[in-house]
Amino acid sequence: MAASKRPHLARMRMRVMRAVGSITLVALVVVLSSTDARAVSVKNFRELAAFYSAATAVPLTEPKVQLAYQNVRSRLPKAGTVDEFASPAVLGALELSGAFCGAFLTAEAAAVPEKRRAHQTVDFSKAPSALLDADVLAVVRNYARLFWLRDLRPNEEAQFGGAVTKLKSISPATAQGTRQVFLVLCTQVATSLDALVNR
Amino acid sequence: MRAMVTGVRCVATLLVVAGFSACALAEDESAAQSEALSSPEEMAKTIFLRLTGTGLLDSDPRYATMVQALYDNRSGDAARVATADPNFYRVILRNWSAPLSSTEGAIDNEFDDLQALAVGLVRDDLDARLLLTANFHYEGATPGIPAFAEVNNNHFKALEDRVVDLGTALVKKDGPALATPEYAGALTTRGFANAYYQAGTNRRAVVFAIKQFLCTPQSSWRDPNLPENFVRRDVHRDPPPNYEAECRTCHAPMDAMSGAFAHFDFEDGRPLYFGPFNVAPKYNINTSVYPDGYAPADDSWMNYATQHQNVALGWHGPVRGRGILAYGEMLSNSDAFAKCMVTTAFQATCRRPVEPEDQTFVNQTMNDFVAGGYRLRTLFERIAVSNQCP
Repeated sequence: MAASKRPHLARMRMRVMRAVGSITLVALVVVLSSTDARAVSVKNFRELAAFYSAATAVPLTEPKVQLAYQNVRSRLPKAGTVDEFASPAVLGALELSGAFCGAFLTAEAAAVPEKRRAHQTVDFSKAPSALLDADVLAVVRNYARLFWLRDLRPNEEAQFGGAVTKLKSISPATAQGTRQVFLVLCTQVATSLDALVNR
Repeated sequence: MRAMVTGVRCVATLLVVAGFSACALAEDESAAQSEALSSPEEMAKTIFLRLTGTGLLDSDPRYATMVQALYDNRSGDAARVATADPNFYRVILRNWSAPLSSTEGAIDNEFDDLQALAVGLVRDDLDARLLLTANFHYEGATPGIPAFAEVNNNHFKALEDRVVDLGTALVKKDGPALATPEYAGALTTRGFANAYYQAGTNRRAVVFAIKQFLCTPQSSWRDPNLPENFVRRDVHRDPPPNYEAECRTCHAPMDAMSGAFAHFDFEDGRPLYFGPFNVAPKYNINTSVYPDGYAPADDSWMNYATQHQNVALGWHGPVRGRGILAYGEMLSNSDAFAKCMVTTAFQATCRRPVEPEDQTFVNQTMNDFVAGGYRLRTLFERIAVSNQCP
């Protein structure tokens, strides 16, 4: 990819992440306003790091993960109470999940397909246009099992289907674009409420 | 322009998905609340999540082991699989133990020797009362980290920075953490000394020993009309109405118990020991404030918090004695200590405070905990396999 395109992608990804962070925060407030907030807790800094590590099999000692964790740790919830989950915490979770997802994709791409945790049907050398929507959705189903600890529901599959199509169309037509598609999807699943709230 | 349009589309798409996830979670919450732990397959994953904070894949061999144990009605064995996972120590027990050596109860408190003792006792499923009476401590056996030293916390900080598996890295060593002839578990650790002996007059040690290990704040155990014979010389008695109504209610029981710590202090980053014959100088400062007050000359102590509302603390055995070990034994044999262990383990495992509807479970669990020898790891496992958490 031309070096001049990278800053553009980074800015776009940051805009996406900020928007996702904001809607996650709003959604958290909406959901919890109708439930007993005392009974609900969010993962604290320690729980979140361990959860992402277990989901992705990326150790906490991986250098980029460790750096991201040190950067965001003070912003993440400490006690795990709902009122700790403000914008800085959401953005912190996004940054941390981004580091884990990035390392996760690197490890998955290096592994033979049958040994992978989530991307068994993905050819990381191909451009997004070469990916079948069904294969990408299969990966999202695996993300749900890893981060949401449950299967995708049929209506969620339908929603993700639309998102996948759009992501493929706007990502660069390179192998890096394919990685970008899965990085966005992985981070999105990892920072949704199902992943952040304790059950 | 084109990039901006596509960027906005991407944002819009993901906004819908993110919002949808929120609605799905709300539906799922109400479904989960009406669904008790049902199949062994469901139970295995739930127990593992409670005890480690992480998921358990179907492909993980431990899943099959736990499921089989549950089918065989061996829920304890199933939970034992989960408490062997590194995240039980790294997440659950660190969340549980971190506040113990912090006046603010900080859950992000740096790992230290007090917390290592607590974690080690759980790992080895030992008697919880050893938290306040042990004549041993735990250190890390990881190569290449600073040696254990009572003048700094570098050893334990390094264990945490290296992300070691505390379930295997900690080794039990004879003798207290502090190089003193006296021992009393956590009370003779550098972590406790740093938090509660440093500066002040060692009254903080009394307040927080009761708060951290009996889950009872000072506001609960202060009591008017107690004998004031142990109130030290540095406490103003003027004006008398204020002293009687306010100061005496705390100082009468607190000063009486503070003698247990008379041989200990912490200064310039290192613990200080003045025993067996001398009292730390801080016990006899500002003596001109009230010269007729108590002048500590040894480590004798008296527990006056035994009447009125404090009967509920459930003291057993001697309530007076000499030295830090006798004090630790008194605290650890109280009903309040057992209940505190159950309550804090419940909070760490279920990720929520104890509610009124949990009291029957807490009381029954406390009885079983005491009858079963105060075994800590078994306590966490019992809570995790119960239906009480959601």
